[in-house]
Amino acid sequence: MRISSELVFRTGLQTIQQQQADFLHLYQTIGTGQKMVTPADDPLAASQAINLSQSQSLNQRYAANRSVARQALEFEESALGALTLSMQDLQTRLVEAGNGTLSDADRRSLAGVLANLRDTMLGIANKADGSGQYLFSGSRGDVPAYSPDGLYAGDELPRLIQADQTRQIDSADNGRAVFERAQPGTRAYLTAAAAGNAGTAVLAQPAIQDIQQGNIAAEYAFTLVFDGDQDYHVDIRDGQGALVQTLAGQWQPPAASLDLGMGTHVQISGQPQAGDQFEIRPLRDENLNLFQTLDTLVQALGEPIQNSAAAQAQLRNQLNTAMQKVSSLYDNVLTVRASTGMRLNELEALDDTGAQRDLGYRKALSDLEDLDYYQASIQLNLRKAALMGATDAFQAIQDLSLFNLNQRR
Amino acid sequence: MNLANIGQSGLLAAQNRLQTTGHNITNAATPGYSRQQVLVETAGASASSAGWIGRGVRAVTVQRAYDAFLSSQLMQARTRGAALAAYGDQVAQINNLVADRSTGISPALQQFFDGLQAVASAPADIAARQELLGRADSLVSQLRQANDFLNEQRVNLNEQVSTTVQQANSLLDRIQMLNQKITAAGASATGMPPNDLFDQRDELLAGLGELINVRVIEQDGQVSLDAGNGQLLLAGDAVFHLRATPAPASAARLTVSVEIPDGHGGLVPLALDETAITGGRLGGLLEFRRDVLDKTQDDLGRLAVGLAQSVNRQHAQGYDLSGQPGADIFSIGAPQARAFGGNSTNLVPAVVHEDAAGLTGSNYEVRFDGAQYTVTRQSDGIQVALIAPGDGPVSFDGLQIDVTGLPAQAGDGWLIEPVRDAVVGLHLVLQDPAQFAAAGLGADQLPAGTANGDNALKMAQLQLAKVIGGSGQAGPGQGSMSLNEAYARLVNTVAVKTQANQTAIKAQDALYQQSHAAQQAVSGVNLDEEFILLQRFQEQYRASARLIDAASSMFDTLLGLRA
Repeated sequence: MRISSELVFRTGLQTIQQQQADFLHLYQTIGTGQKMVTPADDPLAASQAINLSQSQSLNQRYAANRSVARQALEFEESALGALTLSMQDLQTRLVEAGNGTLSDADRRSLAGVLANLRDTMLGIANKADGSGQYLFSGSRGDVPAYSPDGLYAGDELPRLIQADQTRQIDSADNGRAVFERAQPGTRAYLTAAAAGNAGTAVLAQPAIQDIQQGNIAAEYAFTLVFDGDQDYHVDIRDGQGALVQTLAGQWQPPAASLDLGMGTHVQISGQPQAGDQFEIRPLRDENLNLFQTLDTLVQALGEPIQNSAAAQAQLRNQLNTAMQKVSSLYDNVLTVRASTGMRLNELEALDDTGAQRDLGYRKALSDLEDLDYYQASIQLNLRKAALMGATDAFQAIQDLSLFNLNQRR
Repeated sequence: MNLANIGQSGLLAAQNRLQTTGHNITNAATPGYSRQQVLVETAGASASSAGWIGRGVRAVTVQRAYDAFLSSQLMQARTRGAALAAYGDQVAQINNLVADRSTGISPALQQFFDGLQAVASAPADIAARQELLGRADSLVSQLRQANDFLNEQRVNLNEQVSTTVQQANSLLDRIQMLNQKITAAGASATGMPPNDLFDQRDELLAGLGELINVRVIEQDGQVSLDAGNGQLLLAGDAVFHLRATPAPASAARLTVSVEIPDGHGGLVPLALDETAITGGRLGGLLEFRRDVLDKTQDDLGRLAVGLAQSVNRQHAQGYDLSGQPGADIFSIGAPQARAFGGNSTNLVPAVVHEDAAGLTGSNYEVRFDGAQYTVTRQSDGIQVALIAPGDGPVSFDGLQIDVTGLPAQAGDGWLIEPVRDAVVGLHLVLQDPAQFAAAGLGADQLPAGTANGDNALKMAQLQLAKVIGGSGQAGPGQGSMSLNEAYARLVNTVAVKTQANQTAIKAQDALYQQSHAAQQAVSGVNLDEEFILLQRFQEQYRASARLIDAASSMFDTLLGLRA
């Protein structure tokens, strides 16, 4: 085949240019540290990297969300811690108030102490976070959870935070769940004496003694009415308030316990009179508003009772009601604290898996995009040799031209 | 004296040959030059009693080393190579635009949804809301920048089409002139081929082929050209110039027409079928526009529609800080309907986006036959809807079209571009961070409080929701891609096209080099060869001169006899 000088020249030029282009590409990959200079170098990897980077950024976002949730929950936890202490104090004071040797004046000063405690706890209930959002008002973060007279002003909506791809965590607990709710799952009863009771009977500690008799779920409410000193009847109502059964009975003093029916008994002391009435209701259906409970009690403690056995019994019963409520509320606050603790634990666990996942994404992205420097440096040497070879070869062929060899000297 | 005559014929022949060799040497690097050689024969012989005595040598003609097949093969390789290179130059720009995944649209999308999550986590935090709006704004500007880039490329491409058409016209004129010169040369030296004119014309033809694919028909030394589909560009002395003209129903889109006589002494442009322009720079540019630019811009527009629609619709489900339902966050460009030239009316059907999940990204052609409107999807030519004038709004492929009240006549047609200009209308319209509707509904069906981020959570989940369609078969809300996946697909498509182009260029280069080598093997000048020929013909010249010297001394000998 004839080889034209033009072809020799073109081929030489093209070879050198091609080698230079390859060299430049390699240089770019080394300079950027990336396998792909443009997506065209590996179209599939380029689009995979885009999707992976979204997963990675989402994962990082979930971590940021978790830190927001953690902050909120830790804030709540510290508020609940303070609340727990106040409630322990409150319970001590309630026991103290039941002390029969107190004078009216003693009780009035105790009422002042309780009013202070109530205000402290209302302060906790109306705590706001750093950005002015009230902790316990549900979705109504811009209004204080409780009004000064102890009424809940928020709602019961959660404050959900996306803590992971599929997990939304409530970063708050609303006031109703903290300050008004009986401990979830409780089977305890609440006793309350009617305001007009003339006798001195005091009720305490209802208990389901025989679970075989139908009240295993503590679902029935009892209305105890004394028809005489000892004769009484009980209206038993179900959860919907429908009368299920009316039971007549007779209390035999000095028995400390009285049968309410359905295997349920209540402790009794003192002397009832005909017409006295007591309500024994399941705690879990009750609204146990802490502040209103205390308001009622503070008012009752302020009344003089020294000279009336009936009034003393009335206060006794009110104290019992309050203690039952506060005790269940206290248990409830502990439950809420346990739940925030569990949520904090879960956040930590999610943090761990999140960090693990982040490593995975980083690894995958690195596999797709990062340059193998060892391979690249070997390639670089190879390319260098090839480029030098191409220029040398071109030079050699040019030198061999007959016109060059036969130059006139 | 015969010997002197023979010497003279040798001198002349050697001179011709030396000149031709010199011509070859000096033109060794001239593009399109074919090696020439002098054809010689013996000058015959004179009869004598001793038989035929030769009369020397005679130059017959100068011939160029030329193979029509190899030349046309090389020309085709150059045509195809020019198309690939033009396509490659353009597609590389988009490829570079989407090159870095850490800048541009994908991170802006992620940042926007990140901002949504931040608001969902702290719905009442006005700083988080402000940040979200800032991120929405930067997402909008990223999408707009990408779209502006594509539009600039479109304008630039139009300019290149115009320029290339001008260049092609100038080449057509010069080829026609060479046709005339070749005819004239034939008249002045009958039977002798004007090699250099042929070479020049071949080179011009190849140059024209690098602009647009043409078919060359050679007859009696004259070439005629057609545009590959039978449309003549050069016939005899008549040149039919090309012209860059707006495409039907799309003034901003230049395409190529041929000017033909209208029969009244004027010229009318006759549009060439774009798919017939397959080679040369024009072929590459037009193919790039059809294949990549349109598709990329449509994909981008569809992404923007999917974003604006899904975010706006979810936002409307929520309530802002003052308990009002969410207003639109983004505005978006509506589908464009354009009348074809020659319509009886300038009015167009009303078209709106119904559901981004159903959008295919294709354009549609609507034709009225006097009784019914036929809607055809351009990407696959499938008829997607048949509408009677009284049908009211009709839905197809995520769009809704209404032809009610259109005073159309049979033969009227419209082009619908559902998403091409969507990004042009993309703006952030929500400006007040307090109006971002993060809250959902409470149990009482009233707006939830400011600390509620239910709706923001749902909006954040749109990041992974399949809000964009692919097949066009999907029903409302049943897309096949999330926003990020749609962008990843856009990048992948561009990258694949770029890669395919790079591969094709390499293959074409190899093919070109083979054709070039084969053509050069016949027509190329080898300087070493010419050096040897130079030596040889110099020797012939010297030897011939010796003949005259010998004849002269013979003559002297004869003269000496007398003395």
